[in-house]
Amino acid sequence: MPSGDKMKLNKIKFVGKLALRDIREDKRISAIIILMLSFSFLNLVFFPAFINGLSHTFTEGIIEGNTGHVAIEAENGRLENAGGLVKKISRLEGVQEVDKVLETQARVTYNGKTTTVAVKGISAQDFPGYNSKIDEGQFLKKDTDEAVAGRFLAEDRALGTVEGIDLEVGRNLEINTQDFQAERKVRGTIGTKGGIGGLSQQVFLNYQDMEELTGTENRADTIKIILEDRDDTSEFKKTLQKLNTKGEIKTWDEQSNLAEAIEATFTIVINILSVVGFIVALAAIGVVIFINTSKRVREMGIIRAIGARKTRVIQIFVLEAFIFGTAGLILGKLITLGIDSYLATNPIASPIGPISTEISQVLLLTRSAGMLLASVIAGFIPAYLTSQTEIVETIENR
Amino acid sequence: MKIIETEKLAKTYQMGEVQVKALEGINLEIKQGEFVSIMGPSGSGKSTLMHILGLLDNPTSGEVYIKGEKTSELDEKEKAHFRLEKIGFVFQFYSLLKGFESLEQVILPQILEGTTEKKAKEKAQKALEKVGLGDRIHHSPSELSGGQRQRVAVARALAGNPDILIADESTSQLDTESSEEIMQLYRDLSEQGQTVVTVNHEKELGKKADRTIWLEDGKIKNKKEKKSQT
Repeated sequence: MPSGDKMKLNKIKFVGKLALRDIREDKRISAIIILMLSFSFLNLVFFPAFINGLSHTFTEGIIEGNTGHVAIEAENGRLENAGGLVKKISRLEGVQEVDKVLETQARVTYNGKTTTVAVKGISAQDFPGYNSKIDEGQFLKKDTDEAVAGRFLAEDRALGTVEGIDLEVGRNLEINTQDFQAERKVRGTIGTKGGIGGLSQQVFLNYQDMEELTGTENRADTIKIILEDRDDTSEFKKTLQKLNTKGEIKTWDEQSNLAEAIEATFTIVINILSVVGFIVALAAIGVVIFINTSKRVREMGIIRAIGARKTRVIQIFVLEAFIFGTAGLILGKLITLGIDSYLATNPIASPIGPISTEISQVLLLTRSAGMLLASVIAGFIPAYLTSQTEIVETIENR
Repeated sequence: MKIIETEKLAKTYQMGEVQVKALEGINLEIKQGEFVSIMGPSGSGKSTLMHILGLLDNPTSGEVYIKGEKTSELDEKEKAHFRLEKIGFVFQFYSLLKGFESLEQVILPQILEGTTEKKAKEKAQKALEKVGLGDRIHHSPSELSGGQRQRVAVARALAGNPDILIADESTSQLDTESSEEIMQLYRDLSEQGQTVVTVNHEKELGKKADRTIWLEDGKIKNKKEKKSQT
């Protein structure tokens, strides 16, 4: 190694040693600074992640209960050979569930009270998106002529577009349409308190049952597809288009203006929260590191008095701030991911459904970079200001 | 050979609306290898003069020449280089860095100078032996007495073989015995050819110097030559 490089390495080693010494010297203060920085990181990541999770719960409610990630909608009449289409689509990569749906508007009556709802015949009885939303009783069992009613029907007041009819699980519900009249035992009630996704204001029957009631065979109004990964939606739409199936292929946001509006609104909220969170976190990081660096003004003077140049002094304190920032970042990340994994298994129960945090790689990377940058700037400012002060003044700062 | 020379050196501080003249018309010459003690009552401008001679502060007017070089013409980078290579400064208070053992304290300016770690260690060890701390090289400041700490500071100032050693009331925090030990150390260094400039507030300690410069109200009152050495 050339001697110039070796000298440079020696200086860097010493700058590192001085910075690390400061951190080791007062372990308690260092621990408090690192803890505060980790909470700043938590603040930077947690709230956007929580709003992401909230937005996800809203839109997933609509996707699972209504639109699917992608759906094929009949343009004129009904889709033919629905069973074959379901089989074909089920074999495609990334598909979690395919549901063929027959739908009609009906007047439903219980105990003398009547309301108008959508009645859907569905084939995906095992789909967790239905089963996890059961409020009381159970979801539909294959090959049975039973019904599952939206929870709003069990109310005695108007909710959403539905007039509650005080419906009870285990009792019979009368269904009247232009084409048929039927009475079905209510196996369970479904949907969230907030009614997101429409599950709370619909009635579900088995597909075969609905086929018989409507006199159709192997047809569907909609083929609803749930994917393993929501991010694949647009790509999957293209794959479906290549199958040249009849009907109109639509992604969830194309089907539901509400879902699209919710997502767009939450994106705005996340952006605002992120900016505010960044300012607050940067100020907190800045103040913590500024105070810590300011305590060492006199020592900076001594180091300069024995021959160190201003830049070397700045390097020491910027490196120290960087080390603090990195330690705070690591601890903050551990706390954040700990909370994230806890909420993944124990989501917060809310009227719109269970909410957990959703942390994307982009969120983690941008916040980590922001945190480190803030730490370095916060270390640089007092070091630079002090380096501009006369040595005597800094030394006499006892 | 003149190693330090000042010309009409003045320093004025602005304290609110009042101008305080800390130094006024200081003309002095210090020769290479000389041991000079600057004395005077509190507030006479001793430390201000030391800070200016050590390039830690700038005069309001006048000039300081070190080894014939006009220091007012040096930029910040060159001044830092001067402090590193030509001047060793010992402060009034304990100026050691917390958490570093004696050897590391002395190595620091060497590393900044660009000396390799191996050479810096050798030089630091020699400097610590010179001040009588050869057996305390791995002690941290908290494990040393006040006198020993100042000796480490002297070793740090000496390790780079500076042309001038400046000590600003370096004994003021020490007991009588330690103070005398430090002053004797300066005396010994001076006899080995080191230029030493100290500030003392006790006349007895000042007697160890070759020459005493008496400051009063920022002006030199007399320049006393030492007649005999003890």
